[in-house]
Amino acid sequence: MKFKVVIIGFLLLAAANLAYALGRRPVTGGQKIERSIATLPTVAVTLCVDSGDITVRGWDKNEVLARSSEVGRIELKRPVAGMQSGAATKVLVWLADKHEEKEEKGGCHAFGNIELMVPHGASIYLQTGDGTIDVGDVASVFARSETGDISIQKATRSVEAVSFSGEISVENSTGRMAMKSVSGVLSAANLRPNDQSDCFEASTISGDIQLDEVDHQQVSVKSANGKIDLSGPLAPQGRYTFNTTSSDVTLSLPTNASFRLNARVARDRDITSDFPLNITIEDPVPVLPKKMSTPSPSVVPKKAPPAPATPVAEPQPPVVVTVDPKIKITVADPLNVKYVYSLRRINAVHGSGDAVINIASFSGTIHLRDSGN
Amino acid sequence: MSECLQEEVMQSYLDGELRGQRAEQVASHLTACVACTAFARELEQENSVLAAALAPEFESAVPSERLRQRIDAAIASTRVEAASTHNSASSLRDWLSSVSDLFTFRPQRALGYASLMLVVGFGLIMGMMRWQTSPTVQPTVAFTPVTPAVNPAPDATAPVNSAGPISETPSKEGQVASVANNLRPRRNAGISPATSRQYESRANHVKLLPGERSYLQTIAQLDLTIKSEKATMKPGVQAEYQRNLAFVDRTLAVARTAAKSNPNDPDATEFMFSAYQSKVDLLNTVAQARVLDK
Repeated sequence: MKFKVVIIGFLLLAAANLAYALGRRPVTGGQKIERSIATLPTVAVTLCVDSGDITVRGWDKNEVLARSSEVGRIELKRPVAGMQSGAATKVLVWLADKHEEKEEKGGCHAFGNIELMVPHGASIYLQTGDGTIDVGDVASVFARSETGDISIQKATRSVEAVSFSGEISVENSTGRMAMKSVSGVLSAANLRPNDQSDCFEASTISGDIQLDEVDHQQVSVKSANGKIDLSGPLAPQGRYTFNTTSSDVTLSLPTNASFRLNARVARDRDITSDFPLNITIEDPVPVLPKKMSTPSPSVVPKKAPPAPATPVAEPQPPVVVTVDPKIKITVADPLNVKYVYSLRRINAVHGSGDAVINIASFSGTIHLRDSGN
Repeated sequence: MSECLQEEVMQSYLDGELRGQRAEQVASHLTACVACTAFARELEQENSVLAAALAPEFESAVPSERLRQRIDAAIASTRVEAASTHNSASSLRDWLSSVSDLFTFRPQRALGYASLMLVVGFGLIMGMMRWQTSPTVQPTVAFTPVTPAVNPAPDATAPVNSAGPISETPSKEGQVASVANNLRPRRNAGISPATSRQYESRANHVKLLPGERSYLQTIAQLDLTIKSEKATMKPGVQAEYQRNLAFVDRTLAVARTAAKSNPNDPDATEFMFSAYQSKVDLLNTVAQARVLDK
């Protein structure tokens, strides 16, 4: 009899624990919550979650709509005091978990996927810990994810995407672009500037960078340990800067590409080209100026005094010297002749030299490939 | 008894060996003779010194003749010193005598020697233990700042050099960690507010190229910021951060070695600064992420 009582008590206790655990578990397929607010077409929308996927789409309405089936509460707040009526200029999307009892724990501490519909002209500020961010058809996007991927399409004004280890993809967009990741792959395709001041910047530490059809006139790409690949036509009068410490840089350009090349590699590295380059300056053993400029770290760290910007060395006027280049011609395929420039520094011209390409790779190889017309 | 007393008589008097009339004669002479009085006082002082120095000898059972000889020798040496007329031969003899005396083992002296050896042995053992456990502070600032951070004459300061040539292919995790450890200060587990000063202190001890110091200072500041908030970093992010830090540190060490080896090559120097900037970018990204998390 005693044994039965103990067993029954144990079962009751286990059932109570199970019921409590089920009650605490986030509901993944619960009731969908929707909140909306009237806004200006150029509204600024801010959303921050600790973990969860964020999907944002632009629509024709001057209204912000937020919906989720995984959070307990959604509030669309107006962060600007005194602007509590009429079309909102700024909206803070505030989330709380289903079992969140205190309101203070909402915001960036919430877990759950969420979907936003915003006006096409909206500016979106998004942040998530380990979720993905998917944005389309909006004007400006600022997106940050620690480990999740970021995908942005059809942005019309500007894009700034930062991820620690997630991949970042920006496609079919216009305006100023900035992509930054530590170890994630950056890929950009079909990007155009709105005006000449719009620039494209991409940087990683160990992630690869793949650019395809980037039409910006100012392109700056930097990676410490990631490969850099660019394909597509060069912008007329464009200025391209590629810096890598220990990886290759490959530029796949059309046959009629017109550019001026300034390339530097380490002593034991090569510059290979499908294009017969017209060498203007050969300087294999550069001479140290009497007083070298010493750059400073360009960073504004937290609690640290701002450092001066990195000084840029004044470009020396090109002295056109016709030098017989030390070219090794490798004929692996009779139809594919590659010119290997075993020089550490090349200033060369192909075509009329419209675009300027500056490449520096410490321990990588620079490839110029002819992708045809 | 107008002549001065002989030394033997004086010594016998002072030792209390004279008896009766003879002792009275000596005493009366000492009251009248200034020179003998002074000499007697001198002998008394010598006796007191010797008595203190040879107290163990007096306490031990030794042949009286031998003791007397040694006392005589000690008195003779004292007189020589007082008169500042050092005789090299006698000094050597005295020195040899004192040395040989050191090796004359008696119970008290043996105990003293044993105690001394024990203390010296204990000190040696403690010294060996401390030498083995103390961190070998490398003259590197590479990082850090290393890390790098963290960094110097390329041979003495570029920490990766000790690991041999750097492979272009990604190394195994252990190798990367090893390199990373070399690039950072050994004792960086604890969060110390003096980290920045440590970096600067190390920077002061190594030969830096122009412009390096500002990078090292910035790296030290960022590193300090990150370490102070490392507890809030997610494990996945932290692992990725460490992996990339190892990449950057390795590249920085190679670039720095190249720059030091080719001081007349501005490209090498520029590549080195580019590597420094990569490290700053990495640390800055992490530091900013920490700020946003809050």
